[in-house]
Amino acid sequence: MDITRRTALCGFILAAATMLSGPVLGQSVEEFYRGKNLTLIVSADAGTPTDTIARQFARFFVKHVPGQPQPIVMNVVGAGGMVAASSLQTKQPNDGTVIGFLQRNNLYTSLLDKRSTFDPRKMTWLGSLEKVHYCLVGMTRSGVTTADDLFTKKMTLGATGFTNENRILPAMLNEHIGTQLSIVPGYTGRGEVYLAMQRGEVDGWASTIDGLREGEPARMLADGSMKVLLHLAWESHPDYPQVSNLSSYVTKPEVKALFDFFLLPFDAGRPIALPEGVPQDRVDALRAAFAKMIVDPEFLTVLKSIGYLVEAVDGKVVEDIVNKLYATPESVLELARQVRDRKS
Amino acid sequence: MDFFSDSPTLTAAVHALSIILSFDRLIFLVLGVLVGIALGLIPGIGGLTGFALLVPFTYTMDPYAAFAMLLGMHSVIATSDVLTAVLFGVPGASASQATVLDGLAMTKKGQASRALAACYSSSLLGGLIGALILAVMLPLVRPIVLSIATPEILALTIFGVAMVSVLSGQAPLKGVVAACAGILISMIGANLQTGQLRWTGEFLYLEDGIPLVPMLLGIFALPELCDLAIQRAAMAEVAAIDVRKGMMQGVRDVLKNWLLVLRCGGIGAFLGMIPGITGAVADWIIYGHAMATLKGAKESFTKGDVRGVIAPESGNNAREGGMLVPMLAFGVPGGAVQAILLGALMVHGFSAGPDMLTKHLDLTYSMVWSIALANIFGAGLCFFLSGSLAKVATLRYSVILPVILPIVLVGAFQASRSWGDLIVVLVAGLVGWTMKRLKWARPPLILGLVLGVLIERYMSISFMRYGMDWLTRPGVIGLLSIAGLVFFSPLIKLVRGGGLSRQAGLRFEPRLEDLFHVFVIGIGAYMLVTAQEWHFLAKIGPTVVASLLVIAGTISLVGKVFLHPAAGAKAGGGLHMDLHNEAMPTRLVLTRAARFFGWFILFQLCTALVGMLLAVPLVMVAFMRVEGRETWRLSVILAIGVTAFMYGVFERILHIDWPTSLIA
Repeated sequence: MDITRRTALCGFILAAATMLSGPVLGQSVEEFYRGKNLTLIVSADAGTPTDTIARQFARFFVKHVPGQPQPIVMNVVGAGGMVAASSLQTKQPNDGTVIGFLQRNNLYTSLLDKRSTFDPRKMTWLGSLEKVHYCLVGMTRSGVTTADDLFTKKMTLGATGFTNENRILPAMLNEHIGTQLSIVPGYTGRGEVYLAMQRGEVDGWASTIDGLREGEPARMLADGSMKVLLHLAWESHPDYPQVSNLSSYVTKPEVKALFDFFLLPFDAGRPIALPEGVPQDRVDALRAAFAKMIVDPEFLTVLKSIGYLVEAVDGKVVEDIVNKLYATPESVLELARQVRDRKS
Repeated sequence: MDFFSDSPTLTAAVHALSIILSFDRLIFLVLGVLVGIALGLIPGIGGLTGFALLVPFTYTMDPYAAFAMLLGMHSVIATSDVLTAVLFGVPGASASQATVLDGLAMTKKGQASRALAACYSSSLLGGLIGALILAVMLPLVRPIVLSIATPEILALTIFGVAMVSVLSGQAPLKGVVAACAGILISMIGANLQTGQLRWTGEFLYLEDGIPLVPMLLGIFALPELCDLAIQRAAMAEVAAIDVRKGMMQGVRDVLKNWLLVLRCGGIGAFLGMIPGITGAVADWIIYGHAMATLKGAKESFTKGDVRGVIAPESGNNAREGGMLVPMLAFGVPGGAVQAILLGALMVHGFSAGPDMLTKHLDLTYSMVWSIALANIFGAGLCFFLSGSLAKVATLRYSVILPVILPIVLVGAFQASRSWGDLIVVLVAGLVGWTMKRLKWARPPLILGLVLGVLIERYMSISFMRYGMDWLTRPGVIGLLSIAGLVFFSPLIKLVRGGGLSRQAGLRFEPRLEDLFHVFVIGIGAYMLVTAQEWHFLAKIGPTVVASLLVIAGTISLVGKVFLHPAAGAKAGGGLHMDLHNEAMPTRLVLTRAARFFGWFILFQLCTALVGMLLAVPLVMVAFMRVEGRETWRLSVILAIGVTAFMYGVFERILHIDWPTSLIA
């Protein structure tokens, strides 16, 4: 009886000691990662597109990290990724064993919402696997078939959450360039929106270009029942080069700055971060691993098979975006708050 | 029927069966089933976690085996999650919440083995019905799914909430109050249509709304566990009947009620096809439906009627088949589960959508077969284990409680992996126990919680898109008429039967327990007032519901304080899973309840201080020594066992973050 108790006690002490012991100095990066776990904190729930990509990322990334650590994916969900972001900033060890797969709104949310304490300037950015490109799509039966029609004809768009880009961007079009969209938020996901489009409940929505490549959307575009109407970007995406983009419609500098505020983070699609203070040699090794992974043909094939084309940017690009966002004048931030948090 | 003469379809179905019956695929199916059964047993861990575990293995597998494993896993979660629900009142997943009501009552009557056997047999049959419906309907599903628009989904959720009058028994006003409270709780958080933060205060946690699982565990599980601690006995209040006999009886019950199984299976499969109707919603609609239509069910349900477990269990396994429809027929995921399957399909080079109903019909039918076979394996295995598992209900409380409580807490913590979950389960537990003691029906509260948020969401879409016209759609008119009938018929019956008029004495006689009424009305009034400063779209829902709560609550309170039943009249019954043992003096009950929640809070404090993995053995040993006077030996062995189990499952296999603590 006593032996059992003592054994248990020893076990706990050992476990506690292991948890508390820090990294040993003078180790090479390879020695450090060998036999360790590399935890990837994913800011979205299991099964979401972000999670799917993150799990592929975890699988291939560790192959390029010296010492080949074991990948572990941990879903930390809530407040549009802000829970994961602040967990990475304040709770997770900064020895290079934890990486965060965050969301682009995390780069600016703290600027708009004073309750948020996450500071993206205090992170070490690894980069992002993709840039995100948004466009408006609409069913041809609605009579809206070009960008110009958006200003003269009414059209109902579906959207998911209120602070989601698929509602914010169309709302900005209405507010600042005079489109005639009526936006119905509240659908649980893109599946519900497409079903609503097919049964005639809504006529379109703001989709990512990636989201148009596979399945039903691809088919609807191919059979002509749906069209891409407008790129929500300053340049037209090469997949639909003939479709107009925002540069022909947004002219006022202040409005341009407002659109920039929401469009800039798109280049950091799903930003990947390390907490501040990770030893430099490990940061370098992880950055090198990232650079190798994004040209790994097997990785690219797998991602392509699930409908994602890798269009990676490095950590410097994310850092620049963060700095630009944090240089936004207060007047523009106020406009951004209005469209994101409109209460009336 | 077209299907049978349509030889390509039939050929594909037969071909798919021969594909799936090969050994190297079956083995993966069985593996998936085993993982699914294990996951279903732990509250709070559901199919998504299972996918996260299994999906990485499937990339290199052949697609038939991959889907056999994934669907095998997912199909049986709704089978095994009833075990804790039936034995301890702890719903293993949100789809087993209705099963708790009669399942637990049967366990108390010593019929645990009968209840479990009935659960598993009806799960099996329901799963097969779902697969069959999917198989037969596949060629026709596109027009069916397209004909269901948001207004119809809204009408369906309203129909669900109308069940409140059925679920409130003879205390309809209290039921309405509880349902309104549930709806109001579901409205906490960021409003989807306006972005308005409702009643979130400064808590980031509340922005995403209060998650369902900690609420469920608090409202249903904690009160049962607390009463176990109060009665200091085993869960089964009566000596258990012979296990083998019980099991045979359970199977016979299911076979005798084959029509019910068929009906609930059909409804389950149909509800599964509609994205947005979650397992929890389907569960209540099916249970309420059974209660409203079966003979004598209004009196016997929630008191241990076996039909009360057969109905939801056959329904939620049948849902599994229906859920594949939006993904297969449209290539759009109806929810997170389908999104994962869709991703897996794409990895294997298939494009979901109409092609799945033509070119890749054999793969589609292999999925149908996988679901069917998984149900047979899963239910079969659970069935054979149920005999020995049922005996757990006869164990003494001082062994059961310390094992179940940590699992309840860690299960609640899976909702958003935040301390907020642990606080929610505690508060909900206190509220749930008070409701149980004061004979308030708890199902309406959960019904409101599950449906409130959907009703608001779909109502705003319906109004924004259709104006008032949505009310004129034939499907809506039909569903709303049935909803009205369901809502009002028990009330009318009650009035006719004189249930409301048998009150004679008119005198002012307040009691201490009426304070709970005052408390609930007060909260409703506070929510009503604070909502008024919001945008119209954000406040209309809360205003209507909170007003209804205050009105219904006040009438009920006035009735309680002033009107008293005439001598000889039956006191208000209702669905509160009655306590059988009321002999104990109130003071003793309260002391023991305070001790129970004291232990619960101590556990949380320890978790905050030294982390959950250390708190589990410490508090367990302390509890067993102090409360149960168990030996050191048993206490330590059990504590180490539970800790090792939690460490293995949550730390090593699932890689889940623990609650933050001061140390560690």
